[in-house]
Amino acid sequence: MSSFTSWVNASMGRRLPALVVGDWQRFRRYHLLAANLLLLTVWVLATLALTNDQLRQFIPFVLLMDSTVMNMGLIGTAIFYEKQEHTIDAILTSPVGPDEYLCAKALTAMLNSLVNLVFITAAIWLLKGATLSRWVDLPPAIIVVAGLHALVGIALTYGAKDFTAVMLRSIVYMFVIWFPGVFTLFGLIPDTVVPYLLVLPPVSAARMLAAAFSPVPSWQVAFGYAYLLLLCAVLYAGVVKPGFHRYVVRAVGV
Amino acid sequence: MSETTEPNARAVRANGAGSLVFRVDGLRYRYPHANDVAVDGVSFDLADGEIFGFLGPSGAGKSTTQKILIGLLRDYQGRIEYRGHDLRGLGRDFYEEIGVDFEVPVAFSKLTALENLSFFTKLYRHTADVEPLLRQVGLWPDKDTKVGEYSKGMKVRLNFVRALLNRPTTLFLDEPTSGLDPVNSRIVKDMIADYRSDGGTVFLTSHIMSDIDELCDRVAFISRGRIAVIDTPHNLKLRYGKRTVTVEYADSTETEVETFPMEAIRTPEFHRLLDTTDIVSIHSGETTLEDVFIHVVGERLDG
Repeated sequence: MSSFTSWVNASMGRRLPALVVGDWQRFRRYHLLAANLLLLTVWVLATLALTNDQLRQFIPFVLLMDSTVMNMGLIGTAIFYEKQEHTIDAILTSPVGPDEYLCAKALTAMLNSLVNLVFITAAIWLLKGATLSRWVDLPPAIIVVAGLHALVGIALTYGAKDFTAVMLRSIVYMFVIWFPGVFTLFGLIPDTVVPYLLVLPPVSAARMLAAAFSPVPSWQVAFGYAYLLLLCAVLYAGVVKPGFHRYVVRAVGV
Repeated sequence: MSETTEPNARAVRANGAGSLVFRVDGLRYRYPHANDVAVDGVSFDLADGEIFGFLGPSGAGKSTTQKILIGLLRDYQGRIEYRGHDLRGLGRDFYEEIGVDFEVPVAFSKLTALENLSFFTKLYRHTADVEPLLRQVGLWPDKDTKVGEYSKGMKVRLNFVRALLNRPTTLFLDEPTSGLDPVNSRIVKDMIADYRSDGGTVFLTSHIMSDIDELCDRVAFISRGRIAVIDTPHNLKLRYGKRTVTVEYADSTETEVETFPMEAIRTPEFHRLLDTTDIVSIHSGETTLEDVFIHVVGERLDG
C-alpha cells in the first residue's frame, strides 16, 4: 500500500505534470499548436459572415472538430515524432509507467481543447459581441470528449507504419464515425433518428456540446457523459493499455 | 562451446562483497512474427562494479539482450534476477537505478540540448548536475542549440549525458563511441572508466573491438543468439591467441621477413638469424580480440 501511495505521490506530484508540460512544450516547438491556432482563427473569422442563430450551430461544430479530430491528429503526431526520434525509448526506460505516459497524453489533449474553448469563445465575444449563458456546461463536455478522442488517436497511431497511415486512419474515422455527429449539429439528421446514432461517440459528443447552445433532451446529454466515460474506460483497458506493450516492442524492436 | 567464468576479482575487490547486479539464466526471446529466436539460451552474471562487454556482429542478439535487461521487451523465457529480485516483478523504481545509452540518437530534435535534459531530469527523483556533464563531453557551448542542428557525434555525446542524468548505479551502453571522432571517443571512454571507478556497473554492447578490449573486465562473445564464451579479454587472448615474433632482415639484395612462434625465440635458428643478418625490425605479434572472436565464433564482427 505504501509503494502505491509513493507511486501516486511521485506520479501526481512530479512526473505527470512534467510529462504534460513536456508534451505542451513540444506541441509548441513542433508548430502543432500554431497549426491548430491557425485553423481555429480561420473558423473564427468565418463566423463574421454568420448570424447569431447560425452561430448556435457553427460554434458547437468548431468545438466538436477541435476536441475530436484535431486532438486525434495532435496526439497521433506527437506519438509519431516520439517514435521517429526514439524519445519513446528514453521515456520508457525512465520511472514513467505506461499509465502515466498515456494519461499525460490524454491530459494534454484536454488542456489543449480547454485553452481552445477559451480562445474561441473570447474571439466570438470580441468579434461578434456574442456571449454564452451556459458556457460552464462546455468545459466538462470538452474534457470528456477530448479525453476519449486522445485515446482514439493513440489507438489509431499504434499500428500505423508512418504518418500517412495515421492520417488515413483519421480520415476513415472522420468519414465513417465523425460526420454523422456534424450532421446532427446542422440538423441534417431528423430528431427521431438521432437517438439511434448516439452509439457513435461523435454524435453523443455533438449532443453534449450543442446542449450549451440550444435545447437538447437532457437524457441525451446524460447518456452522452455516461456513454463516453464508459467508452474511455473500455478503450483504455481493452485497447490502448494492452496495445501499448505491442507498440513498444515494435517501436524499439530491431 | 558455451562457457562462463566467475565475475572477475577486480570487480569483487572494488566493491567488497562482489554481489551480483544481474543473474541471467537460460534467456530466450523471439520477436513477434519472427521465425528465428533472437536470443537462444543465454546465461551470464553481471557483478557489482564491473564493466561487462557483450560483443557480437549485427543481429547477433546483443541489443535484444540489453532491451530485455532494461525491461523494454518482457515476453522472454528464462529467469533474470536484478540484485536478487525477479526482473519481471520489479516496479518502475528499477529505472531510478539504471541509465540507458541507446545506439541511435534519442532526443527531441526541435528542443535544445538543455531543454531535452531538463525534460528528462524531471522524471527522476535524484539527478546529476547537467553542467559539468555537458562540459566534460564538450557540449556546454552548444547547450542552447536545437538538437536537430547537432552533428551525429554531438548527438551521441548528448545520449551519453542523458544516460547519466539520474546518477545510475548500473549503466547500459549500446555502441557508446559509435560515430565519435578519436578525441571525443577518448573522452567518453575515460568517463566510462571513471564511472566504474566510482563504483558503477556497466553493461556494454559493442562491435568495436578496441572499446571492449580497453574497457571491459569480462567479455561475452555472442553469435546467432548464443554466447560462445565469457572471460576476461586477457584470458581469451592467452587461451586462443597465437603469439609470434616477426623478424625483418636485409638479405644481400632484398628485405626478407620470417615469423617465429613466441616459444621459438630461444631456439638456435632464431639466434642464428639475429647473429648472421642485418636486422631491420623485430615485432612481437599478439592476437587481437577480433582474431579470438573469429577463432571462437567462426565469423567476422562486421559480417
